[in-house]
Amino acid sequence: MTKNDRLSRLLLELPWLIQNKNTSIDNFCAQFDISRDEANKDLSLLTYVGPGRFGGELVDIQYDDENISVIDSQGFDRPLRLNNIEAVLLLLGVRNLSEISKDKQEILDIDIKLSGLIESDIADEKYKQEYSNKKNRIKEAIANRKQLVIHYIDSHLKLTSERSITPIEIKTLDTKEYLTALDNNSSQKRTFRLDRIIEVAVVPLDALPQEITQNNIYSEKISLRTKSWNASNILDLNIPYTRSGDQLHIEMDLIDPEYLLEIILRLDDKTEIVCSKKMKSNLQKMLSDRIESIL
Amino acid sequence: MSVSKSERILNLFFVLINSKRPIPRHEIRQKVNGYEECESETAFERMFERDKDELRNTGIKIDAVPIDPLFDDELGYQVDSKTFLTKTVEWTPSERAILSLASTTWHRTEFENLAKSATLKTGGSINLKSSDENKEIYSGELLKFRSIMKSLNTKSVMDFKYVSFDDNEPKSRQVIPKKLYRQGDNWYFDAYELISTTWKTYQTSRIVGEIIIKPASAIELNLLKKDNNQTLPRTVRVEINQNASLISHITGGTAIGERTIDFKFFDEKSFAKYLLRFSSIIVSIDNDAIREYYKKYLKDFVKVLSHD
Repeated sequence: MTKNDRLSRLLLELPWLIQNKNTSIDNFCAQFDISRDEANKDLSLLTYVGPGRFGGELVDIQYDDENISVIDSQGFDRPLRLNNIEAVLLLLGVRNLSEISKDKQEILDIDIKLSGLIESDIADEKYKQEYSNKKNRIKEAIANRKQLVIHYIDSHLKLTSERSITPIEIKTLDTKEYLTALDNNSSQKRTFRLDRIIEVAVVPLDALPQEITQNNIYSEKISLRTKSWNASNILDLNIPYTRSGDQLHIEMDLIDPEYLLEIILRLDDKTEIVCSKKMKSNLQKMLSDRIESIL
Repeated sequence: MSVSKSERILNLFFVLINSKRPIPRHEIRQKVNGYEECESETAFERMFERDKDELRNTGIKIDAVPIDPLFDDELGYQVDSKTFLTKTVEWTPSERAILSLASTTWHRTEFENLAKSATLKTGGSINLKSSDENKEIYSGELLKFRSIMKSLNTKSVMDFKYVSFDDNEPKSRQVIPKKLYRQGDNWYFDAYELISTTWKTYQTSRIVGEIIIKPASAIELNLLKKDNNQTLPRTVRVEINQNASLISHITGGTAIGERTIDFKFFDEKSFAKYLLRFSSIIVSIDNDAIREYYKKYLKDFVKVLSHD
């Protein structure tokens, strides 16, 4: 081991020991891949360093053949920041785990924390804080069985007026969180993407019972066939699709032509669209209006 | 007894993190146990510079800042605040366990040591056995990232097929990547494209098939050195019919006025295609080329819908 490797190791050891109180010397050796002799040398050196030269100004670590305890870390009580590549490695590892894990929520929490450590041009601490506050208010309402009033950006990117809902649960799909709730006006179950909920207010009214009204809503079976690489463009829409070779197939019952148009515009102009003539002519009209109106 | 080099560097680190103000050189020389052995000011300065470099190599940056904000003639030293994990990121024991398990993904790869060091920084354990110790099974996605990171680490050429926003078929690309990062749901890397000799940004999910890694030739590396100036993005202002500050986290870009968003873009054609998904709220685009491509693409979709 070079001296620089040793310095890096010493800088890792102290915060690690603080986070792993009363660890055994054997575990310490195993974690840092060092012998007992090297561990003793490292621990001994760490007790010689500090901001001054005297007892109270030096790091204090008590250790014997069995256990190690940090008594005074001399201000070095927070771990070193992960560099970009370290955070990326852990994040990719966590995402790999998410494919096999059942607890998507905890994995997403870690994903969010790690993502915050990776350089990003649009990292926005204020937005993340607001998101976290919003989520906490929803969780609180679910736990206390209360109603909520929300403002929401719908799939057409339009801000809806106030909606009164009874929150049921927060679910995680891929990298997004969704709130399943009962729309108190229509008594229909709805799913809201959490990042599209703009405002949340808990109202002092008890949650409504989850009796879903079966309305006769007209929907149409839609089929879209396109190239598989277009999948990345529709990930955030949370729509079901299947992939076969370089083909991607979306099949769904759809009520809203505007939503269908949003999906189509994310694909490419070689997409095969199967729907009714009425729906197609509706979509053509919407597109023509958009072409006409653009300034 | 003389002070070892590691001990002296750690002393320097502790002196700096325990001070609420930048510390001038002469004070560092007095306070840090180990510097008293220097016979001259020049010897101290040399040693201090070397120690700062050693700390920088471990990821700890020492900043030199004026001691008096009104006068910049005397510099003091302090540890860059980004050295430590922010207080807002704290790992629970169960999160640490997940992170430890996640790091085993990199067992027996070129990234094993880096992943171990990352795990130790989170306070996690690294002696966990991988959930699938005897098999090296990576999802296609992870293999792709492993290739990109391998190429980043070794400055190698990545050869792959890529579908850009304005392509309908994958095209072959040969690039040397510089930086991997994430924005929103997508991962990107900035890379030097060897055929067009320009810097471009690639979205990882638009890579089709396998990535082949090849060592870069001396000529290619020279090209990269010479053309180290990445193309800067341009800005386009888009007016929408919704409150910009409420939806810019979905659309990307920066909300400027109540109903305007400024977007950064590199290529007009690709950016026009990206804007299509927001066409339900777009009122105007202040770039002629982007607007024309945007209208053309919308017209192409009208044609698609006219097919039976």
